[in-house]
Amino acid sequence: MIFLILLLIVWETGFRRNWWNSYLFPGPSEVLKTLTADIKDGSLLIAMRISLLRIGVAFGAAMVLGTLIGLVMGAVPLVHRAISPLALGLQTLPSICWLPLAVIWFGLSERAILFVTLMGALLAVSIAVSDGIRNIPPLYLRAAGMMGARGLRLYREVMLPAALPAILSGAKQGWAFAWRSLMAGELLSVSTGALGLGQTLMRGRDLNDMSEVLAVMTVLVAIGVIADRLVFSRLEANVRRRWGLSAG
Amino acid sequence: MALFAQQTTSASALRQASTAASTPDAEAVDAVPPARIQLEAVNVQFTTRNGTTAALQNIDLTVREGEFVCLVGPSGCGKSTLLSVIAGLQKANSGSALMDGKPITGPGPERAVIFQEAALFPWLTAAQNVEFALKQRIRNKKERRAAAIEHLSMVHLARFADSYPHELSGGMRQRVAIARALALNPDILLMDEPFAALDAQTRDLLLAEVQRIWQSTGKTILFVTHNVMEAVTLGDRVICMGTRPGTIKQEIAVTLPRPRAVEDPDTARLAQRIMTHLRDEINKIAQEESDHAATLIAPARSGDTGDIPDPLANSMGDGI
Repeated sequence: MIFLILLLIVWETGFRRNWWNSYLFPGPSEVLKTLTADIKDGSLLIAMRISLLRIGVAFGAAMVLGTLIGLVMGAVPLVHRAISPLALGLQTLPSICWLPLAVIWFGLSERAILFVTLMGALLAVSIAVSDGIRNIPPLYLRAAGMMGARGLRLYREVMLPAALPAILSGAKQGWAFAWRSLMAGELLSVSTGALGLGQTLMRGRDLNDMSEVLAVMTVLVAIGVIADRLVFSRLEANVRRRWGLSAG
Repeated sequence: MALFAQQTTSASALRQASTAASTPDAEAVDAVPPARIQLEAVNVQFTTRNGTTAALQNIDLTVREGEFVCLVGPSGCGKSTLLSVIAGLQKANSGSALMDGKPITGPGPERAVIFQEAALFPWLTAAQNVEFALKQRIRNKKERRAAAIEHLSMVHLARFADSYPHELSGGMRQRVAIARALALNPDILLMDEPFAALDAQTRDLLLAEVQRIWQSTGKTILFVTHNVMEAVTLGDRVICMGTRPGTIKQEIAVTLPRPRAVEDPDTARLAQRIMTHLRDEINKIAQEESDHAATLIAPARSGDTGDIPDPLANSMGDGI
């Protein structure tokens, strides 16, 4: 915390004393000014809403699809053997590389951005769910079988909850990938209808408005931290505690 | 093959005779309760990298309605495998395993298993864990909850109905597991070293509790343990198993009055007697292992394999 404050002070001092070309790298006070102006005229909030809506849709779809794929992969060894090398390989592919394909398939449109975002999260979620299922203690399954839980009930009431801690870590990771993919997608498709945060950032560059660029970057960091610390990490810790996986 | 079969028959006939002889004052003339579990010539082999081991060889076993049967033997004698065969969790390579005259093909709620670790679902509270077992019998949510609480009070845990497993002690978890098993309303309870992971005091409490539950519910119980004291305290019959291959060595009827406690002198004396028999088995394992070690270590030292440490104190019942 102290380090951060010191950093801000040095940054501001450097900016005021013109240690560097101040227009290329404006100081915190300038950024804050732009930030409040953007919030006041509503443009930033609109951009945030658009981006969050996009990631909500794409990440939601990735969670549903990824969980289904992961369940099948986890439960059927043959499917796991067939798909898992492909999934692991594709996971190393930065999902923005899907953009050219997406543009051909869907045009430079909303759907292309959503597709890239979805692909960012899908494999991470699938792999996490399938690993989660495969690592369920056999004892739970034996106990469930002994109590007559089969088929859908076994999936819904035993396997999914047993894999939930793993699914949540997958979701956390998937969210991080999706968020990066969304920004990359928005940066590369400024011409697309609604302006999300990435597009606002890019427009700042086009207008040589560096304080706008830094303001949006600040917002991006804030959203990232909130999602990770306040939502996913907390959720994960809660589940792990209740599942008796961590002390306390 | 024919020779084998003959041996089996004569062995089981002998065993039956010896059982009858050792319980002359039991109501032998009364109608014998019907057999619930019948195993005949059951063989189970495991194939590993080191070859095939016979986990169970020619096992004949009958468990009758309302009986409390304890299976005891050193670790690795296949007693848990035997229980798994009855539970339907392990298939026999040959021989027949029947429950009420029908072949056992898989696990089922009429044969509830209580595992060494409680195997409760950590995401459910104690009551919800019991409710899981009740789901197929009781559709109404309120009734199901009430029945779960009722089962929990049988093991004195109604107060902890809304606690999660990780908030309970090992002994309490095992009691919830017992309540959950009873909630299935099984014909037979299969208990696989359920108290092995508990401390001695907790275990003694649970020994009393299991006897009380057995007497009040009249359930048939098959109880697997490596602890002779436990077996003698609980069982109507104690079946001793030998190892490599896993076979039934001996069967002892226990007619001591109930409720029994581990510290009863009669219980202790009987346990001592059984342990003397089992000692041979344990020595056999130790001998094999030290032979094996000797062949691995050095041919020069091949002479001193007779020096076997007494493993009894560690592997057998506490407090004897």
